[in-house]
Amino acid sequence: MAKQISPLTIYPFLPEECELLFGMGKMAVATQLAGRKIKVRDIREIYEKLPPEFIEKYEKLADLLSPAIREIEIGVGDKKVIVGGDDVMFRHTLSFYNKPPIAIDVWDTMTDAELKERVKEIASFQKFYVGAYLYLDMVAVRSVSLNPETFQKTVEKVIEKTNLPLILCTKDPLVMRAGLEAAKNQNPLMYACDFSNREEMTALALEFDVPVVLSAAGNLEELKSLSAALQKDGVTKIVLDPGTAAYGPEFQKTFQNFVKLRKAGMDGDKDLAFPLIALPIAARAGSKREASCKTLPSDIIEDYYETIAASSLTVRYADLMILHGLKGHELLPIVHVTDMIYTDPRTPSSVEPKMYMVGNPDAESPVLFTTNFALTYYTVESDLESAGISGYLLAVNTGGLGVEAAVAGGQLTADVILKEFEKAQFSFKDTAYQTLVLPGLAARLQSGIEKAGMNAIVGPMDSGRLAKWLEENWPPKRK
Amino acid sequence: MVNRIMTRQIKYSDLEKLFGLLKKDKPEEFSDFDLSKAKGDEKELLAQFSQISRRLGCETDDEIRELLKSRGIVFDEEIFSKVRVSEFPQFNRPIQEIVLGADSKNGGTRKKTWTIGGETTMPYFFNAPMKNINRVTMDVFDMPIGLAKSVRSNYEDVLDDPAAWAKKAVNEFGADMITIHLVSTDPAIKDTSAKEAAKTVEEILQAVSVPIVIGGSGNPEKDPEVLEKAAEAAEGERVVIASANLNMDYKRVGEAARKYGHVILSWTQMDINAQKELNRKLFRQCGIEKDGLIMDPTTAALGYGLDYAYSNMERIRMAGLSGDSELAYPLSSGTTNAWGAREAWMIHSPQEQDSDWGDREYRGPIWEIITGMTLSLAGNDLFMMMHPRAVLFLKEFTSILANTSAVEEKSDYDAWLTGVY
Repeated sequence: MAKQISPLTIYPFLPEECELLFGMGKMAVATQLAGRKIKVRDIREIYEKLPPEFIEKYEKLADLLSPAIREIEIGVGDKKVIVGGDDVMFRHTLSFYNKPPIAIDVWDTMTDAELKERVKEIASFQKFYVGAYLYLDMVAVRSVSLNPETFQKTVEKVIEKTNLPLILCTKDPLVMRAGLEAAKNQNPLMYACDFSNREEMTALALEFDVPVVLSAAGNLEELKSLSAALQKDGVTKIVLDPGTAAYGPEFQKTFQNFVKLRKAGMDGDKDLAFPLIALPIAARAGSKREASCKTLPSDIIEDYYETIAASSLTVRYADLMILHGLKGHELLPIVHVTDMIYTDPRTPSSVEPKMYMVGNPDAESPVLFTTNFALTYYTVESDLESAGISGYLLAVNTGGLGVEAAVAGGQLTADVILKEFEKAQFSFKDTAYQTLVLPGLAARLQSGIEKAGMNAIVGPMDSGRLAKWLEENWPPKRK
Repeated sequence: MVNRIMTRQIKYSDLEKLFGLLKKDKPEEFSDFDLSKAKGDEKELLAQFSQISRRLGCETDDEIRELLKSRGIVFDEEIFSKVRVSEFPQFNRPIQEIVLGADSKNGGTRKKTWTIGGETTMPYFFNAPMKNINRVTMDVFDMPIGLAKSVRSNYEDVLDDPAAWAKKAVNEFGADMITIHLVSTDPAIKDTSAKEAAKTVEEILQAVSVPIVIGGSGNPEKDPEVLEKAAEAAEGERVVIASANLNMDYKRVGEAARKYGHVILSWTQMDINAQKELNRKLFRQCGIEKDGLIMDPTTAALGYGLDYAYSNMERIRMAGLSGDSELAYPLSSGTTNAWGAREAWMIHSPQEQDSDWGDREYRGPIWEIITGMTLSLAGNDLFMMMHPRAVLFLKEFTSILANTSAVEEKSDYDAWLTGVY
C-alpha cells in the first residue's frame, strides 16, 4: 500500500520559525504536510528565502512527500493541468488528488467552420455546481489525414482558438513532429509511443521536452517494458495507456488492467507509478456490437457506453480521459463524477445550522428552510441568489442529511423545525405574512407545523423552481 | 538445448510439456511464467522462452534476438520483466451469502430465487471472481404517485394496478425482482389499513414468480404494523422486508421478518457506526440469522451527495471484507433516488449560465445508471431501480464486469485514433 508519512518524520526538515513563515506552529505545519493539506511545492518559495542548507532539506522533504503516483504537467499558463499524484487505492483513506481532466477530440479533416464551432463548444462548456462551475479541460487533436502538413495546420488553428492544454494524437512520428512544431512551448501531451514507433517517439519527447503517453493495449508486460525502456533513455514525463475497450466483454479486462496498474504503482513498481489515461472515446469505433438496448438510436447507445466507461474508470484510477460526446446527457454525469470522486472526503459535509440571509431580506420576504447538508444548502442558496430573490433561509441541523433522507429518517420533523427557528431567535410575528415555505420534499410535515399554530405552505419539489413558484405563490393568500 | 527448441516449428503442446518439466525442476524460479496466457501469441511465447533460456544460463542466439526485436519486444534482460501485482491480504473474510425468494422445495412458491453476496474482494477486482452477480429489483407502488415524465411514460397503463405493474416490470423490462412500496398506508396519504396492504402483497406474489421486496410508506409509526402484516401474508416466500431503522420500532419489524422466514433490510443514513449498531441490535434483539440481513446505508443522487454514499458504502464493504463480522453483509441501494436530482428530470437548467443540458429523455436514465454504476463499484449487490433503460444498461455493464468466463481478445484498440465518427 501507499506509504503513510507521519508528521514526526517531517518535523526535522522544517525551519524553527514556522510561526513567522507559515502563520502556524511547527507541528501544525508538519501535520498539514503529512495530510497533504499543504502541498510541498507550495512551500518551495519560502525555503528558497532561507539559508542555503534549507534547499537540501527541501529536496529531502519533497522526496519524502512525493506521491506514490508521479505528477505530470500538461499545457502552460493558467489552464495547465496536473495529472496523477495519488497515494491511495481508496479515496476515504486519504483523498484522491488532481481531478482527472477531460479532453474532447477534434480531428484534422474537419472543415474550418466545424473545427471553430467544436473548439468553441469545448472551451465554453460549463455546469454550475455549489457556488462554482465545472468545465472541460483539454482538447485532443487526432490526425485522421495522417498528413503532417494537414495536422500541423489543424493544431495551429486549435491553438489560435483556445489556450486549453492539448493532446496530439497520432502514432506516425512524422505527423507527430509536425504537430509538436505547431504546438511549440505549449507543453502538449503526445499520444502515443508504442513498440512500433518507440525510437522515433522517444527522440521527439526528448527533443521537445514534452510528456508522452506509452501505449500497449491489453498487454501490461509490454507496457512495463516500454516504460522501463523510455526511462532508460531519459524520458521522465510519462502517462500510461493500457488500452480501453469501452463496451462489450473486453471492458472487464480494461477495468481490471486499470486496477492492476494502480496497485502495481502503489506497491512501488517504478515503471508503472505513472498517471493512467482512459479512452472512453473507443466507444465510437471498432466492431459493431449487439447492444442489449434495441430501441435507442446507435449514437445515443454510444453516448451511454462512453459515459459509463468514463465514470467507472474515473472511480477506478483513470487520471485523464479522452471523450468524443458533447451532449448534455453525457457531459453532465461525467463532470459530476470526476468532481465528486476527487472531492476531499475530509471536507465537512455540512454547513453551520443557523439562519442565513440571502440577498437583503425585509419583512415582506419569504421565510424558507432547508437542511444543513452542505450540498442541499448551497443548492438552495444559489438558486435564490441567481434568481435575485431575497429571503430568510434556515439551515436545520439534520446531522448533514438532505431533506428527503432526513424526513424519512426522522431527523427533520415539525418539532425539530420549530425548535431550530426558536434557537435562531427568529420571530415570525415580525414578518408581514407569518408564513413558512416548506421544501416540497418535506410536504408531509405541513400538518404538524400548522398544528403548532404556524402558517405553512408547501413549495416546489426542487429549489430550481423556487423563483417561478414564488412569483405565483408569494405573497401568500391570507387564510 | 533450449535454443534449439526455440524454432518457429515447435508446437504449443510441446512447449507446454517442456514448461511443465521446467516448472517441476525449479518451481520457484519459474513460478511467474504462465504459458496459458500466451496461447496463440507467438510473440509472447518467444519472450517467455527466451527468458526461461536465460534463467537456465543459455545465451539466446542472434536469430532469436532479431526475431524478438522485429516483433517489438525490447530485448533487455533488466527491462523485460513480469508485472507483479500483489493481492489484497487485508481482505480475508467473505461477505455473507443471502438467498432471496423461496421455491417450492424451500417452502415458498417462487419459480426463481437469487443468491447475492459471497464476495471476497472489492467489486470486479482481478484477484478473485465475483461469486454472485448484482440483481435489480424494480419499484412498484400501491397507488399512482408523482413520477418524472420519462419514468412515468413507461408505466402509464399500469399506474392503478400494482399487479399489472409488477408483471410488466418482470416480463417487459427484465426485472430480477419486484419491490412493492406500500406508500398508501401513510396516515398523511391514504391511511390504507395494514390488512388492505397485506392483500396487495398477496396480489403481487400471485402476479409474479420472482422474489419480492416489501417496502413500507416510510412512516415510522405506521410501518411496523404494516410490515408485520405484510410479512405474515408472505410467510415462507423469503421476501426482503424494507426496512428496519433506528428511528422506529425496529424490533417489531425485525421479529416479524424472522418469524415468517424473511430477510430484513437494515437501513441507516450514511453512518457506518449507526449501521453497525442497527445490525447488532437486529441480530441480538430480534434473533435475525446471519443469512437473513441486507444493509441499505442510503443512496444519494449523483451531484447530491453520491460521494458520501459511495465512500460510506466502500468503507462498509472493506470493513466487512477485512473481518468486521457486523458489516459483512450484502448491500442494497435505492438507486431510484437518482431521480431526485434536478439534472435527471428538468427540461432546462435553472441556471442561465449553464451550457445546454440536452434532452432530458436521455439525461434522466443515464443519471440513474451512473448513480447505480458508481455504487456497484463500492460494493452494492442489490439495486432498487425505476427506469427500464437504466436497468438494461446497468445490468449489461455489471454482468460484463462480473463475468467469470474467459473472453477472447479481438478489440481493435486503435480504431478510435483515425476514425471519423
